Amino acid sequence: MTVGRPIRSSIDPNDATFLANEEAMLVALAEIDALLAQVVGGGGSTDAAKNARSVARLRSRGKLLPRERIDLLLDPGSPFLELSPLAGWGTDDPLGAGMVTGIGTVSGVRCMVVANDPTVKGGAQGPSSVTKGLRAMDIAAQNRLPLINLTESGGADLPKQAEIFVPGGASFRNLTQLSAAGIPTITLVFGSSTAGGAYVPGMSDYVVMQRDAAKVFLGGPPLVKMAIDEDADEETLGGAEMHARTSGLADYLAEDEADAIRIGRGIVAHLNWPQDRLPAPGSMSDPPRYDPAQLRGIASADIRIPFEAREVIARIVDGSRFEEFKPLYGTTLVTGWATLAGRPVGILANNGILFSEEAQKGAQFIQLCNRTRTPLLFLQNITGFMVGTKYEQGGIIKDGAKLINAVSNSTVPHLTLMMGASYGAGNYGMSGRAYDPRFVFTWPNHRIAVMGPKQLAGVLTIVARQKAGEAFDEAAFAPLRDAFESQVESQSTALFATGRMWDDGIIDPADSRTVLALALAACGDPGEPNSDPAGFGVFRM
Amino acid sequence: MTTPATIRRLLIANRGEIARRIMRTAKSRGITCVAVYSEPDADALFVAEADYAVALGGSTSAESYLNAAKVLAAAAATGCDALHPGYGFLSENASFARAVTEAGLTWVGPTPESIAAMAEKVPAKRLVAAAGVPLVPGAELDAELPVGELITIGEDVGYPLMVKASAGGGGKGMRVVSTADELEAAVAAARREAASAFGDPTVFLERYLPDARHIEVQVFGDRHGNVGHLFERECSIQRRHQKVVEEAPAANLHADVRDGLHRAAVAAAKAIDYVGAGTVEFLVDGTDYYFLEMNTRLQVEHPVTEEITGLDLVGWQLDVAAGEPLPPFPTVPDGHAIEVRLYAEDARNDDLPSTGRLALVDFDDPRIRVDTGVADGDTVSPYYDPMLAKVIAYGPTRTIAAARLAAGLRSARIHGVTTNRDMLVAICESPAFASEVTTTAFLIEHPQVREQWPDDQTLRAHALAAAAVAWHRAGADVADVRDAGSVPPAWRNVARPGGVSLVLAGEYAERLGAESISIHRRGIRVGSAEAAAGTAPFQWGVAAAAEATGTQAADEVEWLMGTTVTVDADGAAATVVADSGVRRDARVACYPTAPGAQDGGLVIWVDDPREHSTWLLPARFPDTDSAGVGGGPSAPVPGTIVAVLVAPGDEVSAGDPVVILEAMKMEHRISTDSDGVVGEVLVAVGDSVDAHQVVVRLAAGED
Repeated sequence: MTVGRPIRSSIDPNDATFLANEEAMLVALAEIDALLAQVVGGGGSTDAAKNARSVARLRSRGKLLPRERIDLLLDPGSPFLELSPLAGWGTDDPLGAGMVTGIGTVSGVRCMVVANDPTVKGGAQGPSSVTKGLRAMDIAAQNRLPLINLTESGGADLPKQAEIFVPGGASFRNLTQLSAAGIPTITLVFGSSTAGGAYVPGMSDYVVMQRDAAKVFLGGPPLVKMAIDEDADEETLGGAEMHARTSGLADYLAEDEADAIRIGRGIVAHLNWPQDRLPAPGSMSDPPRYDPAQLRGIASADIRIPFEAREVIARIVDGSRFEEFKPLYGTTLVTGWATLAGRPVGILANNGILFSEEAQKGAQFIQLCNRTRTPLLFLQNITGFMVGTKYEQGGIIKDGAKLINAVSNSTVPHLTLMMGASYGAGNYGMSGRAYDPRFVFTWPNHRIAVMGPKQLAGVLTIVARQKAGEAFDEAAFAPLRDAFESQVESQSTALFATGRMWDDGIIDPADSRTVLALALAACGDPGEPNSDPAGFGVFRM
Repeated sequence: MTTPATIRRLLIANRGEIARRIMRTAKSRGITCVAVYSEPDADALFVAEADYAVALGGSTSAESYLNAAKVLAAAAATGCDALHPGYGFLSENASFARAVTEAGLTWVGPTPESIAAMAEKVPAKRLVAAAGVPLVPGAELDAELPVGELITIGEDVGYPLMVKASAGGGGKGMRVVSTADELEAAVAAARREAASAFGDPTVFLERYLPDARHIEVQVFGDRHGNVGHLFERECSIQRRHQKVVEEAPAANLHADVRDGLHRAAVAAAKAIDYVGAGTVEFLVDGTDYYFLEMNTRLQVEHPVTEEITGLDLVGWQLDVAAGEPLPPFPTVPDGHAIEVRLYAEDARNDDLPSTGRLALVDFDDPRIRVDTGVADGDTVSPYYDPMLAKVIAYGPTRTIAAARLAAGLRSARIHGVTTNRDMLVAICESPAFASEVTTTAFLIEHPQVREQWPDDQTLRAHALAAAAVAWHRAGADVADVRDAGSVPPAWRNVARPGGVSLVLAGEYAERLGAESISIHRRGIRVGSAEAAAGTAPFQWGVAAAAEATGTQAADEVEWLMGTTVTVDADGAAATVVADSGVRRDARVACYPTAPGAQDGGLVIWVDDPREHSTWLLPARFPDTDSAGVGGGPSAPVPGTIVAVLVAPGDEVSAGDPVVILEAMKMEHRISTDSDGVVGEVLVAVGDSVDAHQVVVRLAAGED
């Protein structure tokens, strides 16, 4: 059975707007590629020579870079959906936060992998690392993904200890809570994992330590000397062999990095983890009829210019097939069903500003999808809910509340793709970050803020004018307004957002189908239809 | 002269391709066929195709196909009225032929008297000489000959000379000796081999003519006094005195010599009132020719004669055995036929036998005739001759026959063992083969035919095809890739500069310049500068000597701009289009090196219509368990120990032989590669050993 009928595209790839959008997108992607290359290169600083030295030092000790470790850990054919690769952008922290997180398949089991990058400050954890690590654990918990830590970290980034000590504690709590929830936790220790970091292996279900490399202790030789005046070497305090033979903290002793990874793969192989629930028999996972790469020319470079949401859907879902719900009602919110890589999905896509009808339509659609346990995909391009007397009196707050209520209490997995604007309560109604979607991805053209920079500056001007009355000096205020506008502009970019991990990563629009398919698969089993215990029928609104 | 008898049920006392060849004719005549088989042959094609089959038991030839009593019992048990011995085994055993006749069966072959007359090579020569046929200088050897006399006899014969088993054939028990001081050891070894292979240690010496041509004449006789010939075959191209290439008629042969050979052969056959199929072998040196021996059986290379005469020689054998008169002999050959023997051995590596499971054998090419006894899944065992198939091509001219044969060999798919196919192709395509007189020294004078490799462009395309299929297969193991048509295997949203990579090793990888190579694949953005060459969504690259773990070396990767690789849906074929626009469609097959093992390696065989290659995708993780196994001299191939030359406590130095191993009917000396004292001898005479099995351990050296 297939769902829906093919969308007919009316995109002209030679159209001037399309070409201009595509060109702007390629420029943005080139900037992102350069940043990603910097992250992947290792070292973590902006000084290329210094980075090269860090990597060379790692190599000289026969060690692998974190992504090389991951490539060896994953099944050879497994994709790897790396998350938050540009964490820390625009902050004091190293780009990428000295850590790699992502989802891939190990011994046939989809897992969350968290790997320290020892070339970045020796793998030390700054504030962005803490946020990124906690986010990875959240994803593991929500999506029931076994967690594999590839650990080699000097511990806390001490100059920033004040920012990380308290929130960082959750890492260890989360580890044991994952275990309590039946989600296996595995740690492979390739180097330092000391002080607080010692609790990463300490709280894991399975621990593998690499001989002559792992160092796991609460206090190293200098601290021990200071505290109890004992002379002890690192190997005696926390070497792999000691932990494997004496303390029992290590369950497996590995000869080298490859051996540790081989053992890790063996552990996952024995987990008896439930097989992935495959798409229903007979479901089609044929590619879209239209080239997903055209999304680069479809997405508006200037987010004030709207673009047709169905053209996006046509380049994401299987066979470009879409069964539209209420196509004639509340037309600025497109709703309907499709399959993505064979898995059913309900889609809500913005096609303009939200009015009462759209909010009600969305709320009804979300309820229906919860009844059928259909995961939801939010394609967000929203400048907000409509304002003005007519709409306030028409109860737009009440209707917006219905949508936000439905989004908040929906229990099916949510995926959110930020494909343009994300302003105001529209962000909330369309399952923004605070509404706990399983994954949030953004396109490079994406902008996010309480409202558009121009509008925000304009509002500020009006408020200031009202406050000052006759004394308001238009000319003197102008530079202030401009500064404010450009500050908002710079704080609403996709890079700013991804640096703060408001999303799980910026993606190439051309990769949207692949990324969303992997994310949807990672969400796992959405449950049996009609298993929602709500005491009411679906409200028709 | 015996009474004509209709053959209704035929026991075929042989195996492999010749058993099938005989069965093909016999079955076409409505004769019921009974096969006999040894334990290793239980699942062989010739057994399955027979109407009845009888197990002889045992693995060695002596226990099975050479065991006359068991073979006769099988014939009795199945009610056979005739027996065809094929070639080798009991085919030239006069007492067996007599026993068959005495058991009331029709013997498909010459009379026991003819066999006996030619079986002992020395008396045979006398007999033929008496009929006026010239002989190669040679001498008989008594078993108890003193060494001094042996040397004198050697000088009389002249060097180089050849030691040959009197009861032998097929190159077994033969030794070339170029100087007097090698003679004694060679005679001893030849006697040992002859005793093992034929049960008779008698050997003789013969002048070795390294530049001579080996030309033989097919003769046939019936019980009505007709004896004639079916032209000659040239079998000059040999390795280790075993024929590799056979053709009919002989090329570049003076008409007088040709006529002389035909006449001499018929004279020899008539001298012993020959009945049935026989072959008279000659050495031809310029316009001189010498009688070598007469084989009183059907030859391996009989198909080339069939191709140029349109006759069925097995059919003639059956007719003669049944007492029918032969039809008139053809007077002129039609066209030209060439046969090559495809062996499971490594022509690039001293013809070392290759054993193992034949994963795939596919000769689907109408241009060639293939006589084979093997099929997919068969095991090439060390017990028998390593010949996999005889591949034959016919043509109106020799040039066309050679080209057809080369093309047919090229298009074949043979997976699982190393074969001499590339050398055979190279011979057929060589200018030397096309234009020169070929002699028995051909392979020595043209060693380059052993080094036939695909060119670098092809190798590179094959490597890409192998890698792409390996990824495809790996992707099929991952639900996200398998179920979502749009997620490519090993997809990354954040790519390493070198992309994803995998390592390929093996001889073909080495041809590309390193012990192993890595194949890289990275995503390319549509619309980006790299994609201008049209390679999106992926760009492929090749790098040398990457480690199995793959390091980050984008600038060491040679990125192949414009090359695309696509894999078919079931991962069995790949198409590689190079930037030149040249498209190669290759079929790709992967076999796990350790079935069932997690993260095990793959052997990947790539075949295109012209070229083939083999790649090893190493296991992902080093096998830490196998490290630290003690070394020592070990068996290069599986086989049987025939002599142990050292005992514990013996001092040995590097290069000293410690054990002699017989495999594939060849003796292999196993030598130490270091000086030391023998600590332990791990094998005894008669033991079967596997390849790489350590046979002797040296005592730990004193530090």
